[in-house]
Amino acid sequence: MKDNSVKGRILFFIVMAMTLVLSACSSASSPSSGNGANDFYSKGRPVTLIAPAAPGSGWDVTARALNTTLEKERLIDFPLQVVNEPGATGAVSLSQLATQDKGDAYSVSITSTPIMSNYLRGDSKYSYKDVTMIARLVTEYYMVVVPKDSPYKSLKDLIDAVKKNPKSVSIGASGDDRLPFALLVNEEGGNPQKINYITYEGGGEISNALLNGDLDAAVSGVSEFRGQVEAGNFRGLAVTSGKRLGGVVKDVPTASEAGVDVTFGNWRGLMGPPDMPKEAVTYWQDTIDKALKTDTWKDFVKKNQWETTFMKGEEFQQYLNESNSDIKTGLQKTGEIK
Amino acid sequence: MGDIFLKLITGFEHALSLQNLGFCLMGVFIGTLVGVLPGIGPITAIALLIPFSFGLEPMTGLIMLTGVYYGSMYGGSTTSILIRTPGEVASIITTLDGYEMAKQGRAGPALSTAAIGSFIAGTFSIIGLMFLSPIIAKGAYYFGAAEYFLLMVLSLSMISSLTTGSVLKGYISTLLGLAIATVGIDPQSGVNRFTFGNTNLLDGIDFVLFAIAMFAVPEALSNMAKKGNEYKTDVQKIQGSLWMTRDDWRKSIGPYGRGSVLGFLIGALPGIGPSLASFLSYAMERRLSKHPEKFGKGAIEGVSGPESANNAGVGGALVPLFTLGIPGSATTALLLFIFMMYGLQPGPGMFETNSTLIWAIIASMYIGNVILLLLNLPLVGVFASILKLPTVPLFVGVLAFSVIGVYALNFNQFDLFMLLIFGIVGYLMQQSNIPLAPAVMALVLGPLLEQNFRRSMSISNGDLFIFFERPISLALIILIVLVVIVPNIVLLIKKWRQKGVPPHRLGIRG
Amino acid sequence: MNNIAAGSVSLLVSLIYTIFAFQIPPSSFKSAQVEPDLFPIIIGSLWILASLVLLIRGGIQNRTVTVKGINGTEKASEENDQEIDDDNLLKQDRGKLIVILLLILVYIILFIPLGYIISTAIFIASLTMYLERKQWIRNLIYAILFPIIVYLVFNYLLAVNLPT
Repeated sequence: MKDNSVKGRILFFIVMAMTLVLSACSSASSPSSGNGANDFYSKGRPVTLIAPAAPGSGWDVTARALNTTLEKERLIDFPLQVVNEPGATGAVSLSQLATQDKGDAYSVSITSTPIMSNYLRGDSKYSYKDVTMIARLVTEYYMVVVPKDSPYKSLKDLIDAVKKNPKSVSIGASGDDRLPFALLVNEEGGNPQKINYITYEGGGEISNALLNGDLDAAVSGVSEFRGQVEAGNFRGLAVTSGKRLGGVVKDVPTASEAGVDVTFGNWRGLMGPPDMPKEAVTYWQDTIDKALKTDTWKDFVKKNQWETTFMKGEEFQQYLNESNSDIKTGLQKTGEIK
Repeated sequence: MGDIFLKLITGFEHALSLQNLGFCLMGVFIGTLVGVLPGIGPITAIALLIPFSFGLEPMTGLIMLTGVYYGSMYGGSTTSILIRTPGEVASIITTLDGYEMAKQGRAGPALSTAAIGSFIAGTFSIIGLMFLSPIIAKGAYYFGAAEYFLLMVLSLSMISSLTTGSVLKGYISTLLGLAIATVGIDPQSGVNRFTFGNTNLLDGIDFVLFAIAMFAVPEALSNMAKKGNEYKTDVQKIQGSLWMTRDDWRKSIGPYGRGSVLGFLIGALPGIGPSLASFLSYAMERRLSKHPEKFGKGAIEGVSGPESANNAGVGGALVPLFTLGIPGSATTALLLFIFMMYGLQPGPGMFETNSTLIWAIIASMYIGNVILLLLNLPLVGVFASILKLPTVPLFVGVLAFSVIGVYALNFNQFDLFMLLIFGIVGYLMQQSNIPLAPAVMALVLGPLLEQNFRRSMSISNGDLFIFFERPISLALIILIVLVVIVPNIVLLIKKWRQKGVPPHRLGIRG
Repeated sequence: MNNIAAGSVSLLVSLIYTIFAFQIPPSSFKSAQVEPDLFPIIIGSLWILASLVLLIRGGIQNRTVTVKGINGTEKASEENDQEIDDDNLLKQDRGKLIVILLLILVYIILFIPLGYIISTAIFIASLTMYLERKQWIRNLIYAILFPIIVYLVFNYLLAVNLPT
């Protein structure tokens, strides 16, 4: 027994020593001084930045990009920590934010279009009206791709084939990514409810299914297919932005250029709990405005093929209402809601 | 060939720099730790280290983060063996024979064989990654929905290898797992199934949660709720040597080799994790064994094989990432993101454009595996001494540990209630002699089986011929016939022969 | 639990599952080849079947055991489970079990409001004291040290925030 307790003590000290060393490391990496202090966040109390999805997902990437920018550019002087709360495309995290953190200023969360579609489908009890919508950060656009040796040379070719025989064209799209393609088909007079959608877990699986011939075409966020387009394995038929995107996909036409007049973007923004104090909201709006103008942020935006589309206040509220009704129309067209 | 070695030597020059070596050590250490702790797996650990890694050079950062990934596979077996709590998904299968070995006082050999198997398979998979990447990547992407479905049928038919007692009870357990797998939003149709309007159920039941509820909780409950006031002060005596005997080595060599190859191949398939690799390795070892009845009762092969397979799976999972730029799992998707944050694009051409970086990472993986072996073998004794804890503190600790592990999955209190409910279900099953492992494995396999069947049907417009028309799917069907149907017919014929009834009378010819 | 009890519980759960399976609405998309209720219905039906077989087998076993009791020679049914090599399965104290389960329930209810350290310390202290009151010094030390060490590892080493 004696021998045992000695061993236990040694193990304990090892763990403690490691803890101290590593916590020293991690505190060294957080900023020591900042210039964005205000009454709320000046006392060094940590703030949580929630990414309502698993690490590596689009929301997680946005949260981490924002966090890195704020810390690297020393825009905040309190610890900000990204916490992943995955579940039901954000609905689980949203219900926690809407009920448990009411009136609080110390949790903010990344949000995006599913906050609307979940509510419209009835999968979530809360919508964007039940929380404090702080600001819009970026917009990500969608891209329609086909394998490089596909018979579909243009977006019109593909949509014509879908109209003629929807069953014969398998379209890879997950969750809300079905919406932009439904709108494209709808614009050309096809029936979006008949599209042969096949759902996969993530962009990697969709890419694989396009390569091995299971899928004829796929729709997803531009960044998902960037690598394969660059390598020449996929051909981008259209992006859903208003004007052409840069970088690897600069040669991919917009849907309007391809003859189908549809633009559809997935905005990402920041939200806080309901009844978040006004000063705190203003603080975040100002800080984010500054952050989005830095080079660190611009670099992230370029790598992910996003577009910085900062918006706040009344203008943002109005935009949200429009976005909500667009999504409602889309869901009705695909037959997901009545 | 000579070219590859030249590049590898350059890789070693970079990987052996003091800075890279230091961060490699840190990466594998953190990896081992998160592997040991239930609830937080490699993906969480990698995500947490991202802000830290931005301050590092790309090479150093990536060496550290891949170190976390393969390091976690070493640690995962520890709690599976000692307290029947899988540290991460890939070590679920290890609870079967690993924990039995520990109960028999053979925790030391179980931990040792897991560490050594991990080392051998880890090293093998790096060699595979170096030489076979292009071929494996090609083969893996020919796996479409139809092939995945057939692979799942094959896997499901192997599930009986997880049961030791009644076959019927094994089926009930499997069906329970499959039923639980249908809870949540159905991705193909967008319809909610069995969610009863509860948001928390939309994503279904997490299988790490379910595994902890099925293994750790019932074991703790039944040990604590024993009749009488006296608890044995020493639960498990550690018998014999902490190390493997000559006999252990002899039995483990085969599983190491087969587990390495199988794990590497399965790991390369997108969408399928090392958990399937370890399960298939277990099923294969039991089938090949001369004494299959010892499986589930402390057979060392049941630890050596799966633990090799899940480590080889990491090397396999990096193949599509490095060569095609396709992330096969959530963890590799996160790695892809980190590559991109550093301004690198994994995919075709990565071996040419970023040759030094890739080879430095590969070289660091060799080094990391050696570090892990040196780190883990001495810890065997320390870990095994946990079992010297008296019954009550040990199992109360297991319960507290399970709760924190499950909470760390999603930071959601609802999950804790699910843990309790399924813990009670597991306890009742244990008391009724219904095996628990088939339910857990069925929960892993169920969604893959159903989703890929429905994807196949949508792709082929309902034509079942899709399962026969491609070379790989045809090969899988032949394999299913050979593995599942033929042995059963042989068994039946043998039975009839013994009973003296000639098989032709029963309508069986040839 | 014997096979009759286990079979009955399993049958009940499988019936409920299957009833709900039949109420799953059709796919939102007209192109669907396989409806979302197909797999649940198949799984549910097989589960009911398996539960029934278990129930019947339990009945037969009971009868054989009785027959055996009378004749003293009859062999039990062929598919009799190879069980009861594990002493865990025997001698369970139902009262103790219920107290343990209640303590776990209280623990997970208090987990968020009281924070990790306090709720875990209370849980470990109360459960160890309930089961082994004599070792109270050991129990108290354990109840304090365990949560603190785990908290330090998770919060600082791994930066996983636990509720405080």
